Amino acid sequence: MIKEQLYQTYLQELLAGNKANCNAIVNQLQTDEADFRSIYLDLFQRSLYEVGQLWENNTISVATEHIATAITESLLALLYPSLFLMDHNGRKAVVTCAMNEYHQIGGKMIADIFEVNGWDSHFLGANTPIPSLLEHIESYQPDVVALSLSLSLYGNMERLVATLHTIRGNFANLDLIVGGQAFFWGGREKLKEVKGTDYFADITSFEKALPRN
Amino acid sequence: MEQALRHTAYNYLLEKAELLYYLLEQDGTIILANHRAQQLSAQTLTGQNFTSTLTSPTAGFKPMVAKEEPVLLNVANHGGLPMTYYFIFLPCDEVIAAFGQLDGNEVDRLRREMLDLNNELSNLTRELHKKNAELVILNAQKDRFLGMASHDLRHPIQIINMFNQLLKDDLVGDLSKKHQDFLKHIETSCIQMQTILNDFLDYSRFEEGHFELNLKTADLNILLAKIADYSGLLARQKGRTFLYSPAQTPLPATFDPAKIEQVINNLVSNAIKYTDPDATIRLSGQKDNGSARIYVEDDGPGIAPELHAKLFLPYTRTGQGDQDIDSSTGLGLAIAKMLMEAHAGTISLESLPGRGSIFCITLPISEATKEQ
Repeated sequence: MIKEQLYQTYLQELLAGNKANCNAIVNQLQTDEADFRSIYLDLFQRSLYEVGQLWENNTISVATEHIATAITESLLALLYPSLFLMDHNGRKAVVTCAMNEYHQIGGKMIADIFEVNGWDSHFLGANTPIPSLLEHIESYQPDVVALSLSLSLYGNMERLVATLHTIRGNFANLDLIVGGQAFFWGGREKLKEVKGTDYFADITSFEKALPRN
Repeated sequence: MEQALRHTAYNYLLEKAELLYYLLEQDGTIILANHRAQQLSAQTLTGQNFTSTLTSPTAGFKPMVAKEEPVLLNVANHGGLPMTYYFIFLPCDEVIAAFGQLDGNEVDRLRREMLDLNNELSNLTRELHKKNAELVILNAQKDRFLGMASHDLRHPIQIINMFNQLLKDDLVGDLSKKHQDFLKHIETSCIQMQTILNDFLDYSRFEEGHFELNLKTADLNILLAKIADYSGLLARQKGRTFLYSPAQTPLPATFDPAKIEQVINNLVSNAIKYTDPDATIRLSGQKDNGSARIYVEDDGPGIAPELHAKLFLPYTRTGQGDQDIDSSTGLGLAIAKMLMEAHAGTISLESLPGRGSIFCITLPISEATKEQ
């Protein structure tokens, strides 16, 4: 768990765009051997949810939100040297975000959870065109494809469901997983349209369900 | 009311608006600039020419004003990057009102591009870290494999050698010269294989950090004299001239005798291997401030400077010498470097083609006797 005072300090530095100070906080947490999951969930995820709310409430500008997101993304890289140490167990995953979805940190965290559980995960990034995604699935032959959606605005939810249909149409037996903040406001019922799609409300429940060996 | 509204709007334009607003004379002299324009400039604008607020030269003030379409101009931004504004110039009686505004579409395009680039960068960073981790694992696997393979091959080679010796001993009077030579070749090959395996084993142990130094404090001259004895014999057997110049003063150092002997032997055997039969090889020692220096020098073909650094990398050879008889693994100097670094020492090379080679190893002089 991240101490509340430290979290608040971090949040203020993030909102102020102080990358160096945010770096220092994460480096110290690593030195203190904080579990990366608590850094991911109690620091990164919590602060980004809060940044998102502040933007929705017109308290901060979209520019501030972008900077906070960019800083958080750069901080993920600080943890990579210790995350990618597991031997792979032969299982493979492709993780991506829905078309027009620029928020990729949630998806990236899922890809990293796959890795620490022995999976070889490929993260394709935000806004992956569907033909590229299908091509990659064809060549990489993953066991699972996971899609992340943070904002259900602008038809993103409909596009996600369409993408799921397209993948299912090409790969009848591929396991599909979806998740993301967008589902907090509904949309889960649409997933029933695509057979064999699992939904996970959060990273913790997703990791619990993940087969390891 | 309309007048009040105009007044409010004008005040807002002057004091708060993000638009740039200048009231200008016919020749471009600034009569008045709004708050935002002042903020960008960080200097008093009244009395300056409008063109002085721009970062790049223009065709002049009058041609700008004559245009009906918005004019793209880059405005100097004190303490920051220049900003592009689109200006319209509206003549009004004897003055000109100039309004500059940002292009929202352009800003949005820039934002999307920056987001895309940032995403791409961070994804590539992730991939890079993943690949690095895979390389670390592969490297460790390679070293473990080397170690295991070398270890498992040792025993069969020892068996071959042992039976070879038994044959030599038992049949010494019964074998023809030709068959005696066969047994000699078997023995030489066994020794070569053992050397290669020892190199692999040593290297994988060092890479994994699984070795210990058996440190003793002693005079290096004693070790050098011992090495000179048998190396001289070996060198002379191969037709080389071998010279030994001991240091004029003691060379007390803390070192693992077996490991330093291994390093010097490697240098001497390289000198013998890579020189012509009439070559001269010299082993010498010297005290130099706080270091003991040991030199292995030859008057062989020399080594091009661009190869010097590579020689100390694993599995590297110079490409000189007879490749058919060069059965070395290319690990000798890499191991020597690791051993010297483990002793807080150094190994270096001075050499030029045609000018021979001088390998130098250094060890810190032992503290206890530095004070003497």
